[in-house]
Amino acid sequence: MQPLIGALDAWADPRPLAIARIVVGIAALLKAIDTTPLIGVFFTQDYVRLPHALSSPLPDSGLTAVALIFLWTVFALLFLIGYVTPLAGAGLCLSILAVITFDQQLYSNHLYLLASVVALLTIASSGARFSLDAWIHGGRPAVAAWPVWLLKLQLTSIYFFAAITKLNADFLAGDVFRAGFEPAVLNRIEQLVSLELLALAAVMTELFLAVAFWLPRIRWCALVIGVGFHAANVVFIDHGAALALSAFGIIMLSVMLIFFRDVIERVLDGTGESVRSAADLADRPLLAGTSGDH
Amino acid sequence: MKSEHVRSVAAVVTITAFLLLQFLVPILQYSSDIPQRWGWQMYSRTPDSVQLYAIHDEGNQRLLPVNDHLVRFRWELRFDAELLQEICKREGDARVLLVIHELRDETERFECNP
Repeated sequence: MQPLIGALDAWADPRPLAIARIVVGIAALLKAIDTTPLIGVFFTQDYVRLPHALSSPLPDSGLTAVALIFLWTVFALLFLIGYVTPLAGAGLCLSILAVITFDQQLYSNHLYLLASVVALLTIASSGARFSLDAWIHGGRPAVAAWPVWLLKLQLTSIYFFAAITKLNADFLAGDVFRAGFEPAVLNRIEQLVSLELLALAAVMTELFLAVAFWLPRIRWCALVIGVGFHAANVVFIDHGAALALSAFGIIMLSVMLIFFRDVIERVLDGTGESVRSAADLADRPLLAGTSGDH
Repeated sequence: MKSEHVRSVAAVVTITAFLLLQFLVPILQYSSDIPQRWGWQMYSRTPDSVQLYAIHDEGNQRLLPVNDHLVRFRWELRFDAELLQEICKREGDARVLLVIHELRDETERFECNP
């Protein structure tokens, strides 16, 4: 029990989290742009309703659509600039969850991921630096480290389960690519490589990404492959989903960046943006000797 | 000291909830043969591509564009009894729905409840 309590007491540099918050804020705005037409059409036109097992308490009306889109956008902006960040993060997370839990047709893995990452960044006090909150009230030199671990585990969970759920006959035969790729793209790809091989490569890539970010020696390689993987998704999968897949890639990139704490600290410290500046520590002298372990 | 304790308890609760949602739920969803929500099963299987026909009392058969009824057909959705009954309701005088699963090359017959 003692090691667990010790882990809960560890502190982390808030600057990588602040950068992740800004990147996620941008992704949240992109997802708002991407999702607004769907929400608008769903709530204002006559489509089948397929509520989840637990029905949403929100009224099924056009006003709900307007309120959800408005709140999502406003909270995303506030989260991005870091103004009243805990409130903005909670509001953004709840707005997104309200959408995906309203009806089975509105569910989206990307939105679920976005809500989860926003929640974790909010819990992690990502507004402690590079934010209006920090500018107005003064930044904090350190924040609790355990939410940072959860953000890293989030990345592992997504890539790991995305990989192992593809270990089925449909996917490994390339059928998902046949259904998801534009016909012209599919033709060109099949001239270069078999879809079966591509399917296996996709699974191996996701498994690699699930593990590689934890290993410092291959972390940069993971970043390059991760960015390439998401870029390929945007380019090759159904062009109607390009914005959604771009936002998904940006969300994952924000979490990847958290693994590069050392690099971010070195770069920012090199520019004089030191986490342990005298001004920072004046507010919280007790934190001066704490660990920066993530 | 008391607020420290409350913080620790809140942290343990949050960590536990996170681990349950991000690891236990996907494990429980894993064995399903169709994509499941909350389990990170993006693009893991092919969608249930169907053609839908309504048969009316007079016996005539009409193609129902799926997009007329569903705002978005997600890969986790299946044309199960709940969804088909909803479509029956919207079609009013439909007696039977024929669901042709194109990939599986199967045809399913669903009797609409009045």
